[in-house]
Amino acid sequence: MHNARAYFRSGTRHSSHPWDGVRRYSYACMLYLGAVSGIFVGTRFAEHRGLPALRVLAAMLFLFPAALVGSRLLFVILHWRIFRRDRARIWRTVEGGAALYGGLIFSFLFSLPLAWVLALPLGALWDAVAIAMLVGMIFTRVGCLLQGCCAGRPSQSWIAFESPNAQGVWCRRLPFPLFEAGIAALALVFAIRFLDHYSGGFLFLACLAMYGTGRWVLEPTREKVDRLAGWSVHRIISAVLVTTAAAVLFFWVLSGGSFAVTR
Amino acid sequence: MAVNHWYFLLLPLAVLAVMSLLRFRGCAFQTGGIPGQPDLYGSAVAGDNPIAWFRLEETPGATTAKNQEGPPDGTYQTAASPLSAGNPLWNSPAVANTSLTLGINNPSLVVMESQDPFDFSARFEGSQVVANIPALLNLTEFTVEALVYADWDLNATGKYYCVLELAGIPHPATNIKGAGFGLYAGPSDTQNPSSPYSWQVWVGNGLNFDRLEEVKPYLSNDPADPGPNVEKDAATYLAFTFSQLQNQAILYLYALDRNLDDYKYPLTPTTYAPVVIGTDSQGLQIGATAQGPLFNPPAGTPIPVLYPFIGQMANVAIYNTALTESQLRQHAITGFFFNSPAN
Repeated sequence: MHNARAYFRSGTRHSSHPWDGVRRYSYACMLYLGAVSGIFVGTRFAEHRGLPALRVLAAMLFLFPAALVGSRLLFVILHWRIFRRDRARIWRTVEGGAALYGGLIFSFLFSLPLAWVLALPLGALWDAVAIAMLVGMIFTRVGCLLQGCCAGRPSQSWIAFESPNAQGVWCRRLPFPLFEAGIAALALVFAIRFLDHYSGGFLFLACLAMYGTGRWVLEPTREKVDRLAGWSVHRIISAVLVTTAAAVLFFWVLSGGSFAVTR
Repeated sequence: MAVNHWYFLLLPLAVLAVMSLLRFRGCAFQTGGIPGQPDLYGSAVAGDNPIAWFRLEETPGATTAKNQEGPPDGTYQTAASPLSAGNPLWNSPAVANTSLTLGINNPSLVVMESQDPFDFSARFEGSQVVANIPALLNLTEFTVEALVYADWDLNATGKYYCVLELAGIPHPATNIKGAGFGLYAGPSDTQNPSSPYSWQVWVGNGLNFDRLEEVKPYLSNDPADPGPNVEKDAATYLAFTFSQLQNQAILYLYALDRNLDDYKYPLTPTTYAPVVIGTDSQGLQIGATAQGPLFNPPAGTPIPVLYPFIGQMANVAIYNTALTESQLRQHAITGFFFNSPAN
């Protein structure tokens, strides 16, 4: 299908919105606030559960850049056709481009040797990291909304409102970043309220299952859906992670594993 | 939650250090390609090896116009308001309020365009892109192309509007520019200022600039063919090819509401003097010229901006070969159309 490029008849300018001055740095600012808040809360949560705060903090400070690198790597993989032509752009992160699941997967892999080096129990560490990620996500997704990255698809629904996409085009959109922040907030509240008595990775797996389910449901509300052979990549990853988390929990319980909190 | 460990105080600094190192600015592309979509126009143009290529799709606030072929890039400049027309005999329009608008897009017109980061243009009104590109010197065979949308009052006739120009310093004998080439809009009959606007090619003959007149009758043999006239509310893909060796110059116009095959206007070549090393003044100018008037009297002092183009523009490319009609047609088609996402 072809569409005419009729933008020259345009009267709409994405430069004229009063928020545009704020927009440019909002993602980075909110990512910063989210990272600081998330790591702080996550570390305190771990300390509350009897883990050594300094080592947990050190682990999180190592996992944060690993998560950023991983999220960039997944984005590069998903858009390899573009990066293949211009490989210098792979680390030109100022152009934007990151995929959360890449950060999650890469930082998890990185945490395997890290937890061993820091002598931290992997499951307990990831319970704290899950809290940190959820807190951080709430802030970061607000930054996404302001900046326009991960924009929702244009819609006339009552829940849609005027917001930009990454190119600064303002129109009524479904607030996908707020939906995702909402999932993170709900998962966080649920985890703290009902899962605080479980440790050893249970909280992490439960949060992963909750977030993955929410992401799977909400993915179609995005403006741009990354696809492979017609399948939504992030839905596939969500399904795999949810299934994995559920399976691990199921077999762990079945095998008599304990999720008791060690304080 | 009380802070009872000193090392928590280092947390903001550590996070800041990581972010400064990795400089993440968002989780979606803010410039560049369409994730998952081929850049059809870009592929078509890049495949023909331009020597300078400005897509003019920078975001608002940018001061650098990226040359897709690599440095040197261009610089966006806006003249001070009001911009004077200068000597009335120069036929340059005055601009009361100069402006430069970047990143123009219209998602309400074609919804899918909001998903296409290539669908942006720049609007010039007393503003320009200036780029000093050595590869543009000594051109004796070349192609110039640009996607343009005229936005001035077409009923106010008699003025000239510069799409782009590459001109040398004024000739010492005439004190007027005499080398290079320019793509303009101006009165279709140079002797009749009230004639409708047409897209025109001007080239330096060594002493001054001459307009390359269209060969008549037009190739279309259609009495209703208005010639390369400027149309209101219509985007036009303009292309001009020139070959000194073959003594051939052709102006092509592609518009959405025209038959893409029929608007080819052979021009009558004249003596052409290219800009050579040592005679280049301010390089390539897009959206205006800073290299003096087309007409006498000569400017006593350099005029910063003349013949300001008023309207939108994108996809300006220059090649050091005369591209074929089929190549240009491919650029025009991919410039006007794109493959929309499958979902």
